Amino acid sequence: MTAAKNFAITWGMVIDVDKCTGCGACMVACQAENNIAPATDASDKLKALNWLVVYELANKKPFPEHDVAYLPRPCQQCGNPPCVSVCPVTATDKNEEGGIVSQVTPRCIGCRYCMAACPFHARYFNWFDPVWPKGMEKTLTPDVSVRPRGVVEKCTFCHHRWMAAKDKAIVEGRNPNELADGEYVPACAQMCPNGAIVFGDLKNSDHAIYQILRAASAKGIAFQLLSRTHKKDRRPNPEPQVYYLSRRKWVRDLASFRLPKTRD
Amino acid sequence: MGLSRRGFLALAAGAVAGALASPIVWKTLDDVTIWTQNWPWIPRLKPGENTFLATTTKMCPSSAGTIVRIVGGRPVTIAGNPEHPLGSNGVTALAGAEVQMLYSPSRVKTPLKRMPDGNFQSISWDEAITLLAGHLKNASRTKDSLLCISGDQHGVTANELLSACAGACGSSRFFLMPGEIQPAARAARLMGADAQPGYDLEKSDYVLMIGANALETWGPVIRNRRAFAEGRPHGEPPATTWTYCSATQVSSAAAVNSWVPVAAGTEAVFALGLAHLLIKNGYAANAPDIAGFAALAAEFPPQRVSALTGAPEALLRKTAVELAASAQPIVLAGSQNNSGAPAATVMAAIALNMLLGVVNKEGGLTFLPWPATLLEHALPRARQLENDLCAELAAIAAGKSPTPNLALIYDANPVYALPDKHKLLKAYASIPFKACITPLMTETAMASDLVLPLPMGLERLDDVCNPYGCGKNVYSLCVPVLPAPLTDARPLDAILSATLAQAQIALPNFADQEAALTGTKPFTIRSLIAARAQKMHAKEQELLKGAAHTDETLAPVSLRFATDILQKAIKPLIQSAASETVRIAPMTRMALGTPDTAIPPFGVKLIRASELKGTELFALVNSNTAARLGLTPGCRVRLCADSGASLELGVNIYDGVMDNAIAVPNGYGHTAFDAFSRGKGRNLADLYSVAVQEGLGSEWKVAGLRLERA
Amino acid sequence: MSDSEARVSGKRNGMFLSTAVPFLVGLVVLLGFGWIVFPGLLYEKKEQPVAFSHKTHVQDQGMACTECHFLRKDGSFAGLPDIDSCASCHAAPLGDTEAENLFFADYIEKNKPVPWLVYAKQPDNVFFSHAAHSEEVCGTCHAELAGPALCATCHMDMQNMDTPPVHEQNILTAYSKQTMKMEYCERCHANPGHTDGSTRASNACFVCHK
Repeated sequence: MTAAKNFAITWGMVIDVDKCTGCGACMVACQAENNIAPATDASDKLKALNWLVVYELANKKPFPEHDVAYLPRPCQQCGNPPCVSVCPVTATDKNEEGGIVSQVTPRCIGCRYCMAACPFHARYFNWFDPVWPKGMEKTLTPDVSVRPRGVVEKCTFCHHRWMAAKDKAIVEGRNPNELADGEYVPACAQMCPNGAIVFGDLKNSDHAIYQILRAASAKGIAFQLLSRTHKKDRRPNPEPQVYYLSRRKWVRDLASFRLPKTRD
Repeated sequence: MGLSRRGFLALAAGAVAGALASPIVWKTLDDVTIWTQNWPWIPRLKPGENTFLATTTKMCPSSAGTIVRIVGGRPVTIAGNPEHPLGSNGVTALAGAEVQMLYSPSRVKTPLKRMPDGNFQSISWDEAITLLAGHLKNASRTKDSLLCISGDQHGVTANELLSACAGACGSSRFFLMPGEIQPAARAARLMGADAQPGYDLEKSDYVLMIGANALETWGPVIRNRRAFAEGRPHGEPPATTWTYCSATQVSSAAAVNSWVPVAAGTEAVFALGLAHLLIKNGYAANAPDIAGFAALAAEFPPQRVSALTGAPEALLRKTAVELAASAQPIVLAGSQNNSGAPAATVMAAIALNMLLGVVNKEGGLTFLPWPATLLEHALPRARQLENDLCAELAAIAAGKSPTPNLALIYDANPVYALPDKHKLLKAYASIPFKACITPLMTETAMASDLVLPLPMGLERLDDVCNPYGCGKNVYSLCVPVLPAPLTDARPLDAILSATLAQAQIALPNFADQEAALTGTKPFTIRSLIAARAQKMHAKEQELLKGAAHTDETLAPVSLRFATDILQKAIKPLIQSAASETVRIAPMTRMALGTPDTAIPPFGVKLIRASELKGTELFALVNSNTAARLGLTPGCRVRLCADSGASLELGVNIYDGVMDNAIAVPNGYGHTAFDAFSRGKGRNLADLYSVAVQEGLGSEWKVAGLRLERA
Repeated sequence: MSDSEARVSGKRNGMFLSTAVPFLVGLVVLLGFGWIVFPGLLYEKKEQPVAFSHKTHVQDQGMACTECHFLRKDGSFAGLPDIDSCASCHAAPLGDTEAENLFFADYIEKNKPVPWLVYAKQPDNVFFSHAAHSEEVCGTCHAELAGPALCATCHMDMQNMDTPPVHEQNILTAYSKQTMKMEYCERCHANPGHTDGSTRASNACFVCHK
């Protein structure tokens, strides 16, 4: 049983579920930023390839007590990732400062063990080679490789944007390990017109996310997603780096892994 | 000495040992693993220098300022421009897909002419212009023989060019596609304001959205959402209150303070119910006909309103109390389809704002002066909005208006979007020659005789001016991010100038000396923009760099309630509300595009499994309605209406729909475009018919809805 | 030695020779084939589309390396110059060499980018930051890696070459013979002297992959 890895910088998210209206702009931004091919039919949700998915939650009460919420779910970049512990070829690992779980597709053999292990269904398999309509491949960014069929892929917190921010800091003579809040933001967080996704270094008190999470935890309204297997078979908490907050109790209860109120 | 068997084996063993000790096997194996991951049909990445260009989106109705990332000269992704008054960091799900739409398989590549056998043939621009010029010259011989339809809801220059062209050909039959702005402009005019209603959401502390899905599709959505987000610090109680009244508890309903169920189409009744309670509480307005309005409002006590709209009485009262308690409340009303709302809806909302005393106040209902008309023969904006396309086509169908000889459609898709297909589209189809200027192969293009490729928003110079819903005057330009369009497209001014010239019709000049700039040709997009910038005292160079020009000048108004008109307008609404047992509740999402874009490639993955499976569309009803109508999850129903259409859909149960409503997703049922949209589901617009009331414009309603098990 | 013993030892000698010799022959032939002939078969020699002379530009014209190969303001590396950079001087032919005339006609006039064959080409899934490997960064400890010496750790020292070296392209993978494999990068990235915290280098996967 491995303990969660600890890094000096820990990139994380706080997603304000109370602000999400389920528009899906984040899902579109993710597809464009990460060179994900569009699909003509995405009905089969088991095959549809979306690194970030916005779920529709309901409080399961009948009309008119019914309430709805939307929850974007990126890769949770777990501190103790179940996917890493099962990969037979170390195509995925958590070994980098910043805590982003890497996914190196050339090494992936497509066994999909990691997909089975991930309690958040955050990993996707390329059943087919990606196909773009003729000419649309010209909109590919040079930042993310195009994955062939047979490999698993997942959200990387737009890791390439971090590398670009570090490069910019280096040429400007600054320390690339001391990025200011907002210098590195994944596409989904940037794109949300409601500002529902807050991104930053969870350990850096100069980043907005630090105070937001602290305040939300103090109020008892921050939570993390439940891993269904966690409750049943007592496997260790994967310790996601993605937090959510909602002032609505039913939303928190649905996810059911509430952070304890801090003592501050 | 020959090679013995032992010797041969030894040779082979030595060869194998040698091979294994050399790169042959290992290098080849390694190279094969690389080769099998690099099939030639997998695109390679191309590096390049990053540049960022600021522009405004024409494709998305949010009219937001955007920043396009360009790598090595190729646009790759799009983000928001937080410096823009209608923008923020983000953009909508539709604008996010705009760069990829440049390569949509539906793009019209060359001018197309319909041949006698029904197929399209690619022709040259010269041929196309000659053909169009011939029809235009012909049409110019008879007054109003040209019918011009524009899909540019939020710009001024393209509409100016088109209506001036129509005017030069003796026609005032210039129409904008139906939207939210027409009923709003009509309502304002009937109530004494010759100006555009605006909504200063940024400074409001209580925003009441009646029917208008302001956080998803209504108005300048990005700016709405930015104003919304600013009042909501993370994890804190919201600093502002937003209430959303609609039939379906989706989108905006998830994030607002409260959701009030109100049946689609009954927004005006709900507003009058609030007026009733406010007046009872002593609210009055400084208008001459307040007494008459109070008398009308008195007819809408909570119980009656609840029966007609489906809104619980308690929530109606709560909303009235909240409105009264707010410092800067504002009421905005609209339809869920973003078109076809009766003028009564906005009239009732304006009346509420009058009672609340927020007209032309900070955080309240503002009235924006109409933009200037620069070209001779062009219709002023107010007139453009008065012209009612559905009413006109209905009149043509009824023989009350002569059938035009030529239809010129610009960036619009009436064949898909219009209701009452049996009547209106028959009238449209009877027009002998139809020319469609469009970037994409829409249903309308498929039904046209001549299709002319227009550059997409990211490829052309265009503008956005006071998109309906903004609170102050905003003028912003859409600038091309590519040196030339990717297809053989030509901008509107080039098409119209060439056609008019060929038809030997004089190009319209500037209407007044003030607009004229020495030495420029008036009938071009560039000079119209320059002239307009000059008139507004805006810096043209800044505009061309993507900055917007804003102006807080408001139109002084002296409103009256126009109760007699409102009473007349609301009658049919009450009749249908009282009689119907099941009402349609449209659900519109930005991710699925507009009638002009259909579902963009990146939007397909945003379709929920509960909405569409393969090609089958699903409607939603709540468990009460399902029980009453005997519907089970996944069963199929047929929706029929007086419009003559019948839609077969699956049904799913979802309790986020109010009682007696069947929520049907909008934006499906395309029969043109490409594999991303074509053949999926059914078009909700087919169910609607149009009712035209004298002086009140047209209204869309689903008349005579019948639900059968299929 | 008796006759039978002589026959046995002769037979053994013969057996040894009749096994050892073919074995060695097979071994040597395949070793030779594998190490000498095979690389020649596996790689296809290609010439650059334009016979660009570094010597002319650097030595004769006195251009600095960074005039074409520079770090941009946003931290990215310009890499090989685009056709506009070349056109900033070569808007018209500057000399009278055949190479330049061909370059002008085929590329400058048509505003077409030159499809250079990249010797150090890395696959799309590799991320390399020139900014992180600059003189300032490496030079803090490695004084010997200044200027072209630093570049020469991965690239050939081109500045004195009059004609571009032959590009040897793998017929299976289409990468060049000089394409570095991961072990090459790991010389530094997996070096304990670098990963002990004295540098920002790490051997984490995502540092080099994308």
